Amino acid sequence: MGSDPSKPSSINRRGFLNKTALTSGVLGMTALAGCNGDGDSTSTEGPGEGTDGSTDGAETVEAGEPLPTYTLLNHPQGYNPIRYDAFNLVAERMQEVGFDVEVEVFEWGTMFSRIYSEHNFDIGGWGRSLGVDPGERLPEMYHSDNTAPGEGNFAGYQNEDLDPKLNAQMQETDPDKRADMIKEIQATISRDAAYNPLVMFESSVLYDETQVSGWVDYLAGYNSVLNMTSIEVNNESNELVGYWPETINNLNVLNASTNKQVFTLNVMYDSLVAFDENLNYDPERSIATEVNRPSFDTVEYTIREDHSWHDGEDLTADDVVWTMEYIQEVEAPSFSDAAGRIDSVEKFDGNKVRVTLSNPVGPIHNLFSSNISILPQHKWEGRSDPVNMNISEPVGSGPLQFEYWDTGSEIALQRFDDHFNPVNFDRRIWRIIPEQSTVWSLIANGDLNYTPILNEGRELDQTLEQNDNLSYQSSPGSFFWFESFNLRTEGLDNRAVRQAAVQSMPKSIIVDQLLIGYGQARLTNNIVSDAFGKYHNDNIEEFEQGIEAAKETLREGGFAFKDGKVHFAAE
Amino acid sequence: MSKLKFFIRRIGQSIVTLWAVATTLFLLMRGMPGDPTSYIVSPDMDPETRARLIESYGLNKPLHVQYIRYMQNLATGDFGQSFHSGLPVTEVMWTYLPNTLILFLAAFSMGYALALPLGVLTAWYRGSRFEKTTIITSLMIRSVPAFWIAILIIWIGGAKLNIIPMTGMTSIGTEPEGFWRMVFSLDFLHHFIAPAFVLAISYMAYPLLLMRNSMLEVLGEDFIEVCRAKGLTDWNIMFRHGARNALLPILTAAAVALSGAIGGNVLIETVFGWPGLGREIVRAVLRRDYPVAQGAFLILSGVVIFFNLVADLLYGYLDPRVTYGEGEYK
Repeated sequence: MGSDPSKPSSINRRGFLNKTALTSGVLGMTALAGCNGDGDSTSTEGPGEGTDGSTDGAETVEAGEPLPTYTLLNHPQGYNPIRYDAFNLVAERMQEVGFDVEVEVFEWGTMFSRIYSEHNFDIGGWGRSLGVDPGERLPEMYHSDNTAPGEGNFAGYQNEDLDPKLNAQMQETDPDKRADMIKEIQATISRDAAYNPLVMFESSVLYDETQVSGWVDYLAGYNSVLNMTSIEVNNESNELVGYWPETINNLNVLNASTNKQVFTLNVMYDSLVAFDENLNYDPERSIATEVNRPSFDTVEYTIREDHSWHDGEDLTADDVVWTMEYIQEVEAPSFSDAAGRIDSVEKFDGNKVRVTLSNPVGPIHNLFSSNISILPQHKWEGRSDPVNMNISEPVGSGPLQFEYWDTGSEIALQRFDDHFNPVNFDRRIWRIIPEQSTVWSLIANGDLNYTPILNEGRELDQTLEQNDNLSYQSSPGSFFWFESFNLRTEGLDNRAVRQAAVQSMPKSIIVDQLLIGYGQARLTNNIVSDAFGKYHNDNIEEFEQGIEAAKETLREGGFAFKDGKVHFAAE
Repeated sequence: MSKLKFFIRRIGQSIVTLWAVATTLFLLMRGMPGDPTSYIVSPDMDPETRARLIESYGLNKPLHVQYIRYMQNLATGDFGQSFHSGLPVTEVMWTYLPNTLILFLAAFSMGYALALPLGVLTAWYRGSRFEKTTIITSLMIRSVPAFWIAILIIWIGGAKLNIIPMTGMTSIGTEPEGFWRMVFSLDFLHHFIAPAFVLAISYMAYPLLLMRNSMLEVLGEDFIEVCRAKGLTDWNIMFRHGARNALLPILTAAAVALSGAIGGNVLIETVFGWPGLGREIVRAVLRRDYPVAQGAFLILSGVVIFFNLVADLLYGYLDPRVTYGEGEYK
């Protein structure tokens, strides 16, 4: 499925970093072994984990109390009709297994509060992405320190053996060793089934091939700067014309919370480091023409000297230093994680910047260098309430600069000719179009020539079939629908219960029937897709799918069945 | 009671009503489930950052403190700042209100301009094929949702025949040059026709039927017979004597419809991609943008109260029989 306008991504990385107690100055640190606590290293135990007498799943177990009724929180149908149906189907299949499941529908904000802030849920039906580096997100979702309200581990998953591994991979500088560490983590989290992928989606774009070409398959998607600077536009006006279903409220880069803001601002501002299509640092695309790591917790950037802001002022190392200090001073929400990694910053040798990190960071570009937009000091200095103020005409240094913003109607960016990596078209326009049927018609007749956001399904199929000028391109992505359990809930704290629920998920049906093939059923319960290449563990054991398989898992876990319902074993 | 006293009394009642509306809005918004910061902040933020934002918006203060501050601000005309855009609420509303007014007032005027004479004629030619056709058509229009008609028109006129634009107030890529320059452009007129037409016919049905009913009552009065006996023309009797007296119920309906028109119609605005106030209000509610939602509803309530007051005063002007007793007409 295309970008979710308000999908959740990462939570509380800064808090996690603050709590991480690691010594600095140890180059090539590997996983912190030897931190296993006493006892079992798995998640919270229940019957069937070797602590009770009901360990032999082959024998019939006398039924005790029934499992409680579980509430599955789902989005409204109007938010995403296919996802709505998918999670309703998930609930029905769980009922067939013998769980008592009720579905409650909440709009996004309420659901977010219930799950993230209040932990007032049993099962949640969600969508999210892991970004470009799964190691960045996994600690938020699985580390035991992140289980407080508002933090990323809203499932309440706790694994004392896993916590140090989650920490260690963030500090590992050898990419291959780090990849192995992340793969090892995947094996554990897939088995423990706290967050369970239902469908994995590809990044995708629908476009008019008579007007636009040159899209690059890239994990960060088709709205990335890489794609904007790669594509070619071939129409009379030399314009790239897309749409967004909702208006953009604010172009304040310090407080960009939605995809529409991010995709607009990411082409208007540069970050220190930009990547090529293989997610490798590309000096030709970056503000920093050279990067050095003199020590584990220090990074030095050489700032290019021929670049300027959209208003003509020179972009210098002073701006970089000022930006790093400013985002800490104002506690800019957009950069809170990156800002939390900075201990100090200084300019030296004219155009070089040295950043001392508060904690050692292994994948420095993924976690830091590419995550801060460089700001013009001469525009931002002296602003009162910079985080909350409305910015209507932002000045950046990116390949596209602001042209006009007709609030509620349209936003236009024009090429910045002086950029070192310019776009190949004159203007990019986004028209605000809330009605989806209008979008299909407009792209069919060429008024729109690409879709920054795309809803796959039957309408897309029909549109492609009926219009030879349209093409659909997709590549492995990191966005997925998933089911999350609240491990604080009785019964859901038992791995067998969670695994059985996962086994009952009608993943293939959802992909084949509801999504008509758009999407990939995640049969291995691994939230890290093969889009992540070397970080993906393709040796994860599959769960056997089906109702009977789920029931068998429960029996083996020491649960009983009575009148078709799952029960705890009698005491 | 004199008109002046009536007017002053109604002003006082209006203020009390507005206060009640403001209080109800305040409590309703805060009673809704969900956290407004869910939409303000990014899930990337840590809880400390979210807490700071909550504090900056005053949402961490006790409810009574928030209420007092809200009322103090209202008394000075300050509706607060949007949580999402950071702009003053009045500025947010002024961004969208002109777009709504130009469309809905124009459609309202067209609708009523058609409805009133048609209502008179259907009453005059009662029993004719013309009357039956008009009534059936009006009832059908009343029964069918306006947004469905809108989708149909876009599909046929836009997607199939390519004779009307399918979205927006102007063509894609038109740089904004000021509201009035836009309004007086051919491009805007081209975009305006379809939504205005849909709204006009949706506004037309009710006053047409109301006018017909009112006219039928008036035509049964003795003074109409006197007019006929005096030899006045049918046209003269219909419009100069009959319609003028049948107009009073329409006035009330028009006042209510006009105040509703100012609030926009989120479905029409969504289907036609018209950047109006209706859509923005709905988004504000869904995003828990309290200041915008509260401010918008309060202003709209004020407009309703105002237009109802105007209608009440006009009654006395149009109908000399109307006097202002203790809280009622006589």
